[in-house]
Amino acid sequence: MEPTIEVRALHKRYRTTVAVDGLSFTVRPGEVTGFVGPNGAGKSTTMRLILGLDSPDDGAALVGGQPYRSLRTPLTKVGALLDASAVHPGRKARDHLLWLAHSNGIPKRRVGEVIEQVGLGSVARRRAGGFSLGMQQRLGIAAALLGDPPVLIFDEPVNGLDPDGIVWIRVLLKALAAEGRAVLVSSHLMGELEGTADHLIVIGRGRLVADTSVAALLATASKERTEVVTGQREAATAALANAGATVTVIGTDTITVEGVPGSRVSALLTEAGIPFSELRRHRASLEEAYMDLTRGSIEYAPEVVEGGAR
Amino acid sequence: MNARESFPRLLLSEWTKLRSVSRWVITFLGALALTIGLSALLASANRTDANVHRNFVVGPSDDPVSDTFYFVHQPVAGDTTLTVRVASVTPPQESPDRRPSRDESLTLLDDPGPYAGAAAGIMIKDGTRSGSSYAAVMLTADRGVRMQSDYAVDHEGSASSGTRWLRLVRAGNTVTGYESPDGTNWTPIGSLTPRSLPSTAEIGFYVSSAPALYTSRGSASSSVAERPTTADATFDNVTLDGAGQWKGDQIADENAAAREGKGGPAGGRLATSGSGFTVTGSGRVGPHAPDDDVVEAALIGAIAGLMALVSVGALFATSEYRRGMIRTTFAATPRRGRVLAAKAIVLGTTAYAVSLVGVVAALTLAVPTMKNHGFAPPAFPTPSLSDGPVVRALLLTAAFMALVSLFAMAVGMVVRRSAAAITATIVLVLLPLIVGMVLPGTAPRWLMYATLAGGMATQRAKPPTITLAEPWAMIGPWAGIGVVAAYTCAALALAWWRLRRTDA
Amino acid sequence: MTALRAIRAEWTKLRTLSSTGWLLLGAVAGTVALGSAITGTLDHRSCDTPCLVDPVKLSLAGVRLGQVAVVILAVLAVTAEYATRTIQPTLAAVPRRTLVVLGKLAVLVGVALAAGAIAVTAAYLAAGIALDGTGFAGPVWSDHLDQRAAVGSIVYLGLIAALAAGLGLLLRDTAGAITAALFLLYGIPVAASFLSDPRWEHRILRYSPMDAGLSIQATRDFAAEHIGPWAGIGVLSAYAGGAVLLGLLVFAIRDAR
Repeated sequence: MEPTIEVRALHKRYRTTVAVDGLSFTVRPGEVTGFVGPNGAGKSTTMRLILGLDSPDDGAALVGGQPYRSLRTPLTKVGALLDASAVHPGRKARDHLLWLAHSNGIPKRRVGEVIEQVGLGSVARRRAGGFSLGMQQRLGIAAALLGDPPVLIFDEPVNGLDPDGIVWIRVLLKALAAEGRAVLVSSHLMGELEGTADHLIVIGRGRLVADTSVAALLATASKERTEVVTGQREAATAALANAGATVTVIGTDTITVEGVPGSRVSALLTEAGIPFSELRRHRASLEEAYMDLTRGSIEYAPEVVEGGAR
Repeated sequence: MNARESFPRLLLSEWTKLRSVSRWVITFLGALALTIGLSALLASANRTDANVHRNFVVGPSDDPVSDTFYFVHQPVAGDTTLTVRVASVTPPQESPDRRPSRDESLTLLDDPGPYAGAAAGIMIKDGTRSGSSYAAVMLTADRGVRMQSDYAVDHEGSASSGTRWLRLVRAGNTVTGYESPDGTNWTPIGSLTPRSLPSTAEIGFYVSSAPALYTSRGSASSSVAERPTTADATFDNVTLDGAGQWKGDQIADENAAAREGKGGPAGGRLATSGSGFTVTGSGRVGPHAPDDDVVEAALIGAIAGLMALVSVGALFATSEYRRGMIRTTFAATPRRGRVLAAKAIVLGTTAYAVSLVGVVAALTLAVPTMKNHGFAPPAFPTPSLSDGPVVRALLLTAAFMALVSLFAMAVGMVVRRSAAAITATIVLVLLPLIVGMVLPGTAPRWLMYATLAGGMATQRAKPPTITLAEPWAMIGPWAGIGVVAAYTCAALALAWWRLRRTDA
Repeated sequence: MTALRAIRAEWTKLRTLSSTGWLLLGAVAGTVALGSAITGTLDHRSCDTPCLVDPVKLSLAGVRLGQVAVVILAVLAVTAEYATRTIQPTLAAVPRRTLVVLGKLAVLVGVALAAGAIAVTAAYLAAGIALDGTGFAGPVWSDHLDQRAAVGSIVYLGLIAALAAGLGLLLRDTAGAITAALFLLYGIPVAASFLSDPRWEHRILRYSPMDAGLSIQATRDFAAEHIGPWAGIGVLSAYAGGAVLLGLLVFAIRDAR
């Protein structure tokens, strides 16, 4: 089975609200795909549709080319963490994983392995009802890893984790992708995916906003912007603005310049005799890139940006 | 801070919690619909032939009565006085050949009412038709001396059971009864005005002996068998103004006697011994309404509505413990006892209002249907919203429903699990009823006094009886609501104790 | 194979909750306690000849109480999945809805039958002791009717588990499903007892799940029963089957929320 997730023209409506509206994308193996959008954009619904928990009104979601509901031992094909608190509070952590293992004929020793892997070895025989948010999250990840699946789906996995845990999960996600698995990770904060995701699927109001590699997105967002550090900020601003550049003050002695190429900025400042200590190509954060993208898209015309971003 | 904590605000906040969960609002409406719907549905399945195959005669106020006894009488015009000495009266005795056949397992019923047992006395009556108006003074075998009239009015005299002098004085439409140990010192018992006393009325002495009632209940059904009994009494020193000739007659419902053939009342006898008379009598003089209760049957839906209210009550409590809402509640109102009180008042009031609307509507809807199905006068007087017992049944049934809902809430506060709270409450209400219907005889009575099932007694407008399959008919409505109130108070106290003792 | 895995997973789920053991203990204890409380109060001297009291039936009357624990167990096995949202991992692990339902039913009915077997055996033993000296004969293991009453009571509890699980699937709500189940079992006979018309009472009791299902406990005075023994079990089976089928339908169609 080719470890992929394919979503084709998916539609889902709950009573009066359209949760997913004609969504299509593909998650490829060997990389971490970030699934981003504001709260209520339809991320969780899409994931529920992929896992066959809800039925789509139209379209299809395929895992390795098959609908999820037709899989015989789904836990060995797809591991998912949707809602970490979906654990019976009266059941011990180990037993929660044990029934999952039994349901797919996974050997019992895997339970011990994944518990150790997520660092819950010391609390495996405690009831899940007493678990903190972070421990629940780790238990949910253990359940996803139980069947050693080639496809993994995580809905907001860093929720409730402490800083150590966040680092741990980033390393884990990258390692899983490096083993050739397809990894889909959702988040409503683009910053959480910085340095982790290789590819991004951005949605808003149930529709696709962008389907792009992280590198390409950053390049688009950082294009034509230069950062200048100078002691004479006001003079520099005036000189550059006269030449038709858009100048933004971002610090006491730092400005960013748009609309004029970096080499020209250097020439203009030298011409005007304004000293500057540093001139560098501005590198946008993923968060900024995302803000640019969604600001332009969600409020105005998503279709246009969708085409442009491709 | 103080303003925020004021109790009316707390009530308002609990009310907001209750009404803002649409599921609970729907359940309240469901309770209403179930109460009315089940009542209406079963009213159309309920039938009786009590008016067709009558075991009663129609009394002076159109009520079903029993009027069978042996009367030694003569007509007397106008005001008069009759005095006798009742030398003795025996307890009721079943004739040996009429003992219950041994192929039935029957329990003898002990009717503690004033119209049961054997009585020997003097009576003035509107003719000799069974069911006519009368007033009488009597010495009973085990219920003392009494004065009664028109199958409905009963005055208690002394507790004497031995030899007693009795006197009856008619003055116009008023009849006054007296008793005396020696024929010299007279004590009045009461003055009564029978509904219709003609100028020439029949007056004399009589013996009645109520039939023994055998019941067989259990296995969800009941049957009642009546066995005639007889009692003997000796009268002497009979003094009547303007005495004529005494004549002995069996007063009985001719229709019943004709229908039942030989099964009519055992015939009475009159024997003269010296200056006295020995009279053997059989039969009963008193009210004789069927035990089936129209009001109770019309309120049948309350049991279904009750179950819906139980789940709201339990959830109103246990939902506080889901997702830690109780911490928000206690952060807003740190005084936990007041939170419990506010919850109880809001839930109790709402449940009571819903229940009351439900039972009044159920009665209004079910009664006309039932009337068409045989529950009609004279056997079943049509219940009216102005009758005391009907109003009591409505108010107490609604109270029963609301209290059980509160009980479920209190149990929910204690056990903090809706499944446990709902099950405990419903089992406490319904299981004793089921077991009580299976258990034979009067054994289920203690179950009614000991469990929430006793509250079902609130639905009856008629007095308690043990002749019905339903075990709750064995206790009175006030006893029933008392049991439920005691349970609810105990559960609320436990909930309060637990709230104060344990962490949220 | 997949079906066996589904059953095994449901069995693991059930046995790893401490409430399961308590509820099964409650089912046995309730059955024995109520049965011996009733048989203990019997006295042959207060019964006429021939005496129609059925000591075997009364010794099993505790099933009416014990079944409550089975109802709770079966309802919770379904509705707790919704309350705790474990329905998500359950369906992620076993996406085919019929298999999930089959697994649950197999385990719940199996557990109810096992508890029923223990409860009925214990109730017979307790009745033998309680009836000693009352003049009534206790249950006899070799008697065909006594065997039928015992087997029927065990089957009854199994069917009750299926009925309750079906209601749980249908309503997805603990409070609602328990209320509905208890109303079906207890509410109907109580409502029927309000009726003055014995024909209608008979008709209703004939088709009420508890009274019909338990008529198999009779070992004498069969005329007092409203329906034949196996026909009564058939009525209960129809209720249980109907609830399960409807529940399955709803489960298969609706989103897993």
